[in-house]
Amino acid sequence: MPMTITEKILAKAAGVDRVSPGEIITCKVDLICIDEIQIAIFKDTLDKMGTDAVDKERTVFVVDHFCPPTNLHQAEANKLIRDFALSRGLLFFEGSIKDQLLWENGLIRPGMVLVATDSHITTCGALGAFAAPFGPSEAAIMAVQDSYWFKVPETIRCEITGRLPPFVTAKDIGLYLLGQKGTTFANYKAIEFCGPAVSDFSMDARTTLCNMTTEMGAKNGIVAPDSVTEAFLQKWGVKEYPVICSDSDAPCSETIKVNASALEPLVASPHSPGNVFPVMEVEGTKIDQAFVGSCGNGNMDDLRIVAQILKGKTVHPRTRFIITPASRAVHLQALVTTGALVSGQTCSVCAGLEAPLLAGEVCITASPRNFKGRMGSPEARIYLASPATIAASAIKGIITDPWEFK
Amino acid sequence: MVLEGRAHVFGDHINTDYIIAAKHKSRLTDLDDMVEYIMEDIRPGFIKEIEPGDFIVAGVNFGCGSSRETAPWVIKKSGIAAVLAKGFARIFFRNSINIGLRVARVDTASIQEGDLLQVDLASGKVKNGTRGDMMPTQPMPPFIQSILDAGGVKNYLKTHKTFDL
Repeated sequence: MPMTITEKILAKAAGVDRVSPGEIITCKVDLICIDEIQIAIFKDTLDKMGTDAVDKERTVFVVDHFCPPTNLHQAEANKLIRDFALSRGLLFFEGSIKDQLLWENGLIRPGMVLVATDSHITTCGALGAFAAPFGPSEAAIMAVQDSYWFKVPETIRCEITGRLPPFVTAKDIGLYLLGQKGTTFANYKAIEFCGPAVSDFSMDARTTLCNMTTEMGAKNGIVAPDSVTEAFLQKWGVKEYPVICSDSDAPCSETIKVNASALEPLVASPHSPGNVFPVMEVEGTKIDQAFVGSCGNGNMDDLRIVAQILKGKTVHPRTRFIITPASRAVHLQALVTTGALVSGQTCSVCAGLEAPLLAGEVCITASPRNFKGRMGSPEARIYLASPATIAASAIKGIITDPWEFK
Repeated sequence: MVLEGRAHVFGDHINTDYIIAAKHKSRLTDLDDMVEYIMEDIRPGFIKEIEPGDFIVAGVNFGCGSSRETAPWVIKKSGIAAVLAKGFARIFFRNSINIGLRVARVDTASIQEGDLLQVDLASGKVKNGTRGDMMPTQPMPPFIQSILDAGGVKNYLKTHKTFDL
């Protein structure tokens, strides 16, 4: 029986020949990542279970939200996770967003089962791994138990053909899907991105695509490993891994076809990632803040397009433009001379942890969510867009179509 | 067991940032401190409206957004007995079951603010005492139901030791 990549990875981890969508299985989890946001419940769960036997080989502890902490509560959370990990000799990192940090440290390989206490761990599916978010109580049990229960998701195939027009990015594809299909169409399902356009995409573009699957309700987003994956992984020291791909005739719950050539710059207006319009429809909206960063759009591709658009121009005095490279490695490569404030490698503006918005303020952002109140005041308005659209908007201080700068 | 309480009606796509705002998530070392901020941005003062045993009633995609387990926890600690919704986002649904917060898929369209509801867990029926209609809850896979019935995954493992699929 033909299977999808997600089914094959789960079957392998369960030690069986095949699994079917909807089936509940127990399988081995290769890596569990816990962050400072969820450490308290993780630790409490272990305490209540009366165990401390966290598996050193399969766990990694990360500070990536409060980095650095800006109040005493945050400092306490950081101390809790740091002390927990270091006193037990567990792997601990601080100073990059977890997705980037995991692959930059060679911890991600195609075909693995990866779990994190972060809804956007889906990003790592771009490397051909099964990467799904779970809560800290379950992460704690996975960290001390050999296997854990999973429900095999149905798969939605998203075939992307054509070629993205200039200044239209993978973010716009994500916004296009959200605009067309809404924020629940992939609930409990896997989304596999494939097709000639995806083969042409850089790993940065693929991670943005997979990152956006969370806003579609998906359990995981995934791209099968290919030569782009191989070259990317080689850079981070990962050489050997199983090459697992979907069978061409594997049953899917739905196939979505996207012609990249026909896309234009898009925004998601307040207060939902599914509230999507062409940029031209909201053009002229004054903006107080612009942000390029987060797990979804803090990579080199994102910073390059910003630098390209901002070259020789300055940010509008009304607009505070913040760039947050997603990792130390990205930060070191990003020599940004644009008038933007470059902050540390953290979740930052995306979750209102830096530069909070006041009532009535407007922010345009490349991060994944624009829920009411997420960046500070519930009276603030958040627009999602691609780094290109944001750079163009930051220059003019109003929402601007990047095609003006073509 | 029959649960009885009043309905607090919310709309579609109630995300985890609405349930407990990101700006309070650094207070995660003490869940009790967070309860007063439940639904703060969309219904200020909601905590004062809750009588122990009441229900949150919602539309589609309840709990979408982040994986923060504090979202179901603050609902559980606020005294809400169960969340009844047309549908749930995956991580919230899973977190709720694993911490023992009752969640049920029900067609909630006819339920109005303040309606008195009776939820019969054994038969999977929701009776609207105010309006007189009866709605079935969508059954869960037996394995998942058994985790919820145990009061969460920790308690389940205490009695079962391993996952009994």
